Amino acid sequence: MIDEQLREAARQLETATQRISIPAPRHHRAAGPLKAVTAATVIVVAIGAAWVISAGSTAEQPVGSVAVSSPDEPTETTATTTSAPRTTDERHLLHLPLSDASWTVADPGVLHETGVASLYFDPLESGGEFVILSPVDAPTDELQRLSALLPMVDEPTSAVAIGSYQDLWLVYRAERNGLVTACARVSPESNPCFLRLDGGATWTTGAPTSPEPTLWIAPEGTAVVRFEDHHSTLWMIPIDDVVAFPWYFTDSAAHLTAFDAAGDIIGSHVFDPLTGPLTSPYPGPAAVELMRALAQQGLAVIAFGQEVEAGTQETSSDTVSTPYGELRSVLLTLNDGRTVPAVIVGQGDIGFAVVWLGAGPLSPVSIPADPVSDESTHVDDNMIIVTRGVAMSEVIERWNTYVEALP
Amino acid sequence: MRVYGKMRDEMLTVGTPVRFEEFYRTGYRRVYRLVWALAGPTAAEELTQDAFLRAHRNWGEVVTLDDPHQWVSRVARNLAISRFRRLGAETRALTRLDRPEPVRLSESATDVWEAVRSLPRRQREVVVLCYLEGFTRIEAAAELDVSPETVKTHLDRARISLANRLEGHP
Repeated sequence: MIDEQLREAARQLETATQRISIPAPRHHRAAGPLKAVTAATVIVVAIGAAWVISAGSTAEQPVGSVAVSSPDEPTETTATTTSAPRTTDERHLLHLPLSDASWTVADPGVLHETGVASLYFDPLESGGEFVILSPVDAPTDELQRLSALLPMVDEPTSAVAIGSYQDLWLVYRAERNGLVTACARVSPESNPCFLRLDGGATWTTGAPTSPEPTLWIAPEGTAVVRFEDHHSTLWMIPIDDVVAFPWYFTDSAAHLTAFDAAGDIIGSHVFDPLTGPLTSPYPGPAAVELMRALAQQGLAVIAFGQEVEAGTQETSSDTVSTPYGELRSVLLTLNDGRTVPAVIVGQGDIGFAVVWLGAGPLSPVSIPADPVSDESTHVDDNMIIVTRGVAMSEVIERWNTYVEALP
Repeated sequence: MRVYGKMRDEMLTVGTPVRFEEFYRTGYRRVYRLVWALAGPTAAEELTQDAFLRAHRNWGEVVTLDDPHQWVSRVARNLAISRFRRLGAETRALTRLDRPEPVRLSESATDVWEAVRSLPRRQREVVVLCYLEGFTRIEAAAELDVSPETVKTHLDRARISLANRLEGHP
């Protein structure tokens, strides 16, 4: 019976989808939404070099020109904008209206630099109204690429990117060493004074005032950032003496690497994106401590996204209590038949972290590659962090190298 | 790259397009259908576009594959089963408003797909691959990089769950 129902449902769906109209590809139609949002104001903040806007400035002033072009439109167009701060509270903000006809961006994924500044139109976000200002050249794909580019920044604390997404603001700040030391997601409507950049040197804020608090900014340099989605949801949670760097963003989990003030990695964690600070006691400090404790014991931490599931089967499970909360002790059977003891730190349906207590080389067949290959890999003395999409041969090689080096 | 099921049949008809526009046109509905089944109607177009956008960005490489359609389908499937991608796409879709639902099914078929989407991720994938995409168990196993036995297990569990939900009994 159920078999018949499934077949009939599939048949109906197939028939119905044969009748749908095919919209223009997004990379073609992106100019449309851009024009559609021309009434809105895209606000760009630039700090550094030619785009420095002095705090407290109130006069309308030219801010330079931005050249935007696309592969589909070889003629480069230039929009020269002038703008003035809207309010005293927003004196650091510049409005870059997109009403100018010359802003005909056919492919918003294209980024071009002018001087030290670049505009990046993200086609994944509502056709391009998401804009960040990058102090360096060409993040080519998604926002996460910004972090990869930040080490190119020469001036300390000069790399700031702010983007608007719907009514939200995404704020990024990078230090000279390339670490993103602050991120925020706020609603300028509900919390207009959330951030005072003060020339880029200081980040301060009051308590968030939006009904659903989403922003905490600790005293300078002491924050942990939690990412749920690399575009839409960011969290900052203060932790004493810890600077956090979101090593990478994935859609399957929130990955966090914690650094101390010297820039050394002291811990890492993959959060279950569904159980964050609003729904459960925040696990961050405990997780970091856990990772630190494990690292001190010479244990490897390997954190996968969802694809670990494809290569393993859980053969036994037992919940154990630790100072860091309830952890699940499991035996994982790899595809090649080997059994590996592990502790699952956090688990959701689309991502979890596994702390491997057992040592043994992983088989390449145990982790399938993924065509969504925009992830990254990091290895240091105490941990291996991977997510799906990484070249799995590299992961395996690194893992095996790590295992071989174990005492 | 292996080509399976209905995808294989369509490939025989369509061939491997060289231009992205052709690739998009010939593959859109199938990817949309896949995403619709896995993620639901709200985010279907967004996620389909996301998948093709990735293909466009990587077109130089994708076009060289034996089956670019399978590549974009796999990307779409991954996007569709990712809760955050789905939520993000739904959010974006909701901001665009006012567009009628392009896919209209009978009430019973709608119920079936809603029930499918309530399944655990792997069961959901297996059901969609086997019933909608026309994969055999062996083909689905290869696509998901699991054993055919695992596919069978997921399929059996999915049927039981669906029967419980739709019929009130296994």
